[in-house]
Amino acid sequence: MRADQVIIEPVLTEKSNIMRETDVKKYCFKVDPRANKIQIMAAVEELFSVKPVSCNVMSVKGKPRFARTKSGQRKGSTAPWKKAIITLAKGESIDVIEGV
Amino acid sequence: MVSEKTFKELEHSSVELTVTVDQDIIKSEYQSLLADYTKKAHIKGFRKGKAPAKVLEQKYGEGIRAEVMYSVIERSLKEILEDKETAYVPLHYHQPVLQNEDELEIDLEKDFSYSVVYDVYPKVEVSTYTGFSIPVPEVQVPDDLVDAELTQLQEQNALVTVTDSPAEEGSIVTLDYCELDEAGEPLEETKREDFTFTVGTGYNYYQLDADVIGLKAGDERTIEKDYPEDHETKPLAGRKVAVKVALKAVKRRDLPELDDDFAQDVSESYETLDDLKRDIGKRIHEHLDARLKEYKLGKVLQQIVKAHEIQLPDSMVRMQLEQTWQSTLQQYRLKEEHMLSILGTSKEEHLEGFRERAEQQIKESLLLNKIIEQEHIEVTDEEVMLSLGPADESADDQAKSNRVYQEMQERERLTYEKATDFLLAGSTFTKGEEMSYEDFMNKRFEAQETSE
Repeated sequence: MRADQVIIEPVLTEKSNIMRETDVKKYCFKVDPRANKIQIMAAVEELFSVKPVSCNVMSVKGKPRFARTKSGQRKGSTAPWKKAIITLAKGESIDVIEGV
Repeated sequence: MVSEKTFKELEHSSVELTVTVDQDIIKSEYQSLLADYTKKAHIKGFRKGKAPAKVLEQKYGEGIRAEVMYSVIERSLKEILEDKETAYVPLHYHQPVLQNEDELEIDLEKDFSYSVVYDVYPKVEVSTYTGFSIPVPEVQVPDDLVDAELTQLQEQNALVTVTDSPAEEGSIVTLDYCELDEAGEPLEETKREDFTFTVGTGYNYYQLDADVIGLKAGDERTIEKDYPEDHETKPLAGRKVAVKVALKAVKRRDLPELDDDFAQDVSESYETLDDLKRDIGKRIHEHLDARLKEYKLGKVLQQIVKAHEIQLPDSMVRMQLEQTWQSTLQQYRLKEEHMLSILGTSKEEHLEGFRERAEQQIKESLLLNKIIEQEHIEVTDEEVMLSLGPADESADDQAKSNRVYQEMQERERLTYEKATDFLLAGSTFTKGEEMSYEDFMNKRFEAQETSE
C-alpha cells in the first residue's frame, strides 16, 4: 500500500485539537482499515517528513442510522473506519495540518 | 477611519475618488469579525462556538477578509460622502462604482486603498442668456375659427332622441349582428349584441353603414357583403360574407339652435350668444398667446443651450430616460412587457431614440436653474399667498401638510414664470414666416428642431 493510500485524512475535532496543544504533539488520522501500526508510522514519516514515536490505532464502529420511509423503517449505519493517533517526538510538528 | 483621500475629475462630470484606510483599522475590523464568527460557527468535529479561531481562519479566511473589505469600503465611503464639506457630492440616484473590484484584496500587514468613480452634479456656468434675436412665426387667426368651435359645442350639446323613422346618415343605431355560415346558421363567435354606432362614421367591423340606412327599429335583415381584395380589415378581404342584423333602436341627433338659450345651456355665466362667441374668441387668443410664449421660451433656451457646453453625467440622462419611459407606460396604461411587445424593440433601443431630447431637456433645466440662482429670481411669501389665497387656520393636520406642499409647488411655478418672463424680456423677437393657426398649434417644435 502506498503512503497516500494509508493516510486518508486528518481528523479535526475539539479533542484532536487539544492533543496538538501539548509539548508532545499527537496527531489524529483517519486511515485505511487494512493498515497496521507499522505501515501507518511509515506513511506519516514519508508524507510529512517527521519521526513518529508511537502509534495507537482503534476501529471506530459505524453509528446506527434510521430513516422512516413509506414502507416502514429502514435501518442502516454509517461506515466503520480506523483511527490512528500518532505521537511525535518532543518539539516536532506537522505544519500542513496545523490549524486546518 | 480614512487616512487619505484624493479626488480626480473625469469626463462627463464624474469623479474618481481614491481612499486609503489605515492597516490598524483593517486589522481590528478583521479580528472583531473573526471573533464574532468564532462564537457562532458550526464546524464539523467541534461544538458550536468551540472551534479555535485559527481553524476558522484557515477554512474561511478569504471570505472573512472579503467581508471586511466590503464593510470597510462601505463605511469609509459613507463617512466621506456624507461629510458636508466634501466638495464632490454624488447624485443621489447614482451608486459609486468600485474600480478593479476583482483585483482588490485585503492584506492585514498593509494599508488598504481602493478607488470609486461616481457622477456628480454637473458644473454649470451661464454667461450669455440675453440678447438673442429670434424670428417668431406670424400666426393668422382665421375668422371662422369661432364658428367652428361653436359647431363643435353644438355637436356636444346635441339631444339624442329615439325615433320610429328609418335610419339615415348621422343616426345612432343599436343593433345585434352575427355572421352566417354557408348553411345560413349563425356563427356563435361572431355574435355581438347591443352594438351602437353612428351611421356614416364606419366605426363597425363589417362596414354596415350603407346597409342599415332605411331600416327601422325592430327590422331584421340578412346583408350580403362582398369585400374587395384590398379591404382594410384583413380577415374580411376578398370574402363574401352574410351578416344577419337586427336593429334594436334608431336614435336621432338633434342639434340645438344657436341662440341665447344655447349659450345659457353651455354655461350659466353666458347671457347671450354674443357672450359665448366673445369668450370663445378670447380663449382662442389666450391659447395662442400661451403657445407663442412656449415657443419663444423654447427657442431662447435652445440658443442658451447652444451657447454653453455642459458635460452631462450618464446617470442623469439615464434617469431622465427612465422617467420618460415610466410616464409613457402610465400614459398608455400598459405593463412594461406588453409595451415592449408592441414596440418590438428592447427598452434600451427604444430609449436611445429619446436620448438627444432628454439631454436637451436636462441642459435646459440645469441652465434655467442656474440663471434663477444667478439673477436672484425669488418669489416672496406674499406672492405665494396672493396666488393661493390665505391659509385656513382651522384646518386639520392633513390639510395643513397639503397646504405646505401646495405652497412649495406654487412657489416653484411662480419662480419658473418669473424666470421665463425675465428670459423673454432679455431677447428680441422679430417677425418670422406666416403660419396658419392650426399649423402652429399642432406643430411640435422641439422634437423637430433638435433633430436638425
